[in-house]
Amino acid sequence: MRERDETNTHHAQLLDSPINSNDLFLSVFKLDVEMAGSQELPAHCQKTSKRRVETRTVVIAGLMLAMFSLVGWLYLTQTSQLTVTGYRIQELQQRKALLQEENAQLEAEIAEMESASRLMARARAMGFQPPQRVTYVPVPNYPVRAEAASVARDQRAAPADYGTEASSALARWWAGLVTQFDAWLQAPP
Amino acid sequence: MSVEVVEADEKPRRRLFFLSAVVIGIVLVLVGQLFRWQIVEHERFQAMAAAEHQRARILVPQRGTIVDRNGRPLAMNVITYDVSAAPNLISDPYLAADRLWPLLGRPRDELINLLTQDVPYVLLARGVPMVVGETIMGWGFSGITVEPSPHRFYPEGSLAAHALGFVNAAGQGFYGVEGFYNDLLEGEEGVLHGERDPWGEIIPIGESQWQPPREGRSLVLTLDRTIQFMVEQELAAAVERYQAQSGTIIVMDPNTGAILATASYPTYNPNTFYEVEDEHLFTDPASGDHYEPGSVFKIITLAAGLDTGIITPDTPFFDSGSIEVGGRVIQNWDRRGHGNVTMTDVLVLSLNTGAAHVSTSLGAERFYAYVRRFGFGLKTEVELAGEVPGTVRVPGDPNWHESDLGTNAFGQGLAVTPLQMIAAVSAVANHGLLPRPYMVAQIIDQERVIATRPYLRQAISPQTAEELTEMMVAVVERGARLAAVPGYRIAGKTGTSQMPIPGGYDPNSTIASFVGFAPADDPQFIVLVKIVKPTTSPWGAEVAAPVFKRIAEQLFLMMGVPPDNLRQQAMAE
Repeated sequence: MRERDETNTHHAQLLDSPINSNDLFLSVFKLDVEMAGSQELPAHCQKTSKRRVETRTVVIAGLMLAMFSLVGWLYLTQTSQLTVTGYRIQELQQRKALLQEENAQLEAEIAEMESASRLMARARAMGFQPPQRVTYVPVPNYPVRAEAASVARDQRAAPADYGTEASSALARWWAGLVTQFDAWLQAPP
Repeated sequence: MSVEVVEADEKPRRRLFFLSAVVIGIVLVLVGQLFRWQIVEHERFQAMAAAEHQRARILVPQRGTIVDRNGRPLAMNVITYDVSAAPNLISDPYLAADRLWPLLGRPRDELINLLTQDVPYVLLARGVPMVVGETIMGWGFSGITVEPSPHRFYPEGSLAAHALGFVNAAGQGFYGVEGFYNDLLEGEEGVLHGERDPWGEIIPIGESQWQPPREGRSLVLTLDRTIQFMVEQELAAAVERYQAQSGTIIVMDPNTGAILATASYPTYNPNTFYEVEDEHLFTDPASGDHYEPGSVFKIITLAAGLDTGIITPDTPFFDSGSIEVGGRVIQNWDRRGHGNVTMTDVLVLSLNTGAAHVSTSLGAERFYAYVRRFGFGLKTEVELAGEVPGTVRVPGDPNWHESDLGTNAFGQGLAVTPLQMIAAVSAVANHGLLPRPYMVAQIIDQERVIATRPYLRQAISPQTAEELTEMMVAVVERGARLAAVPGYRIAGKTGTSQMPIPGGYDPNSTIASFVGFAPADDPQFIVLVKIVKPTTSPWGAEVAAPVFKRIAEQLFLMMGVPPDNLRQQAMAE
């Protein structure tokens, strides 16, 4: 109570004194400070409030730390996985290149083994001979023209009737094949 | 007193001034240097900095493959290994030699000699197979290095060597289609820019820029491997049989100009091109060498005569045995006169006088116009590196003489390539349409296939071609009987030409040739045989014609062409 009276007295003194803007400002400032000092909480309340603030701070700090840790962990994991995957890709690319090289090598070996000179030598070693006499057997309705043209004419425009002959020959060949297959199916085991 | 005060004030001021000047000077130098580094030489230093932590890896494209018309590989790529050593880093050279010599195929002592030298580098073996290279790499020998090296491989060995050409160690194609299409085959390099790790490898997750390489395009040739092999066998046998110096044979589809086979002997193996001592061997004699065609050229002269209408196959001609053209007396090959003959007889008997009579009747302008129309003196534009146009002197040329009109008529005094000659006669087989010879049927560019379209142009009328074909059939039936194949009508013409030497012609050397196509009524192939300097006989009818026969017999079988009567019977049905 005594404090409040002193304050009121001080206010009255201020009101009675001549007005100077600077003084007024300083005085108001001073008054506010004094009033703030006069509104302190009780000790037990202050303790609880402090603890609350500390807990909150710790929780926030903990959450932030956890969040940063999570982000950091995610980043590191991703980066690490990316690096591992990157090296794995590089390794697989090298493996692929090696396999392609091996494939090319094998293809080259096959081509060499199948070369005309080797085939000729092998055929001779197996007792094959060039044909000494050739006999042509006329087959009725055989598409001679289409057959004869198979090698030399594939680069030029086909005559108008060529396609017809070739397709009918294909149809006949297919029909013959189907007939043979049917006969094989019906044949006794 | 006052003087002393002034001196005391001036000294520090001067020192200060001097110090300031020095500092300003240093700052200026630094600023100048900074300007130079940051502005003037910015790019150089940036490149240096980038080189410290960045790497550009050149991505080498795969060279395109070459296959025949049926997809059989003729040229492909393999990886071989070069094995080298740093002798000063090898702890036990004897052990290394013991393990290496069985794989490298070099004597053990030789390897020990190499591995005990006091040098930092020795090459132990070049181009060893992949399996050998990988085995040596697996040992992990310190001081032994195994490096992969891309290598062009020709699985058929010397087959079609002149048509293919070869690729050198730097990956550059020379001669043949390898030379002609080198730019297409080799592709374009790519590049991978990226940050590098301490070992120089590009970091996979670092910033990188990738420009993929453009792989080389592949070629599908018109060549048929089986026909090519057969023709090469026949040519080698013929050169040996007639004890000749060399020879060339071309097989072509006269209807399109597709070259089915082109063989020259002697030849080389493109896998070991570096062992060839005479570089002239690399030149393709079919398109890169010219020769005087001799009497085969009478086909062209008579074609011009028939096409202009100044002669027919039955036009009479009195052969006195000689004719004078431009002051030069032209005689027949047998130095005889044959009396009254027809133009068909001129071709059958291969009369020089008759050919000269036709060319002089035509006149120089019309005669040479036809020579050009058949493509002589011009490149055929076949896809082979090193093609030559041949030599045809025409009126107006400084070294043309009036007598050339007579001698050119029977193939003397001009030079043609075998490819030009076979293309020209193809026009007779193909209703007067002259085909452009071609070697590449398709260019394969990853997913895209570019097919060659045959190019034909009218050289003579279809009627002229038909009449001339019958005259050429008469040549085989009545003259060059050694070219005849029973059951088939074959049109052909022999040629025997002398070889020019400085000051005239070599009296002891000839070029025997024959060109023919079959079946005459529906030609499936045309073959040119040229045998250089045969010693058993100089004549084309005795040397080249039998070779043609042997090849034609096999071609009928390979191409499935039955005898004329069966074919015509089947077509009639």
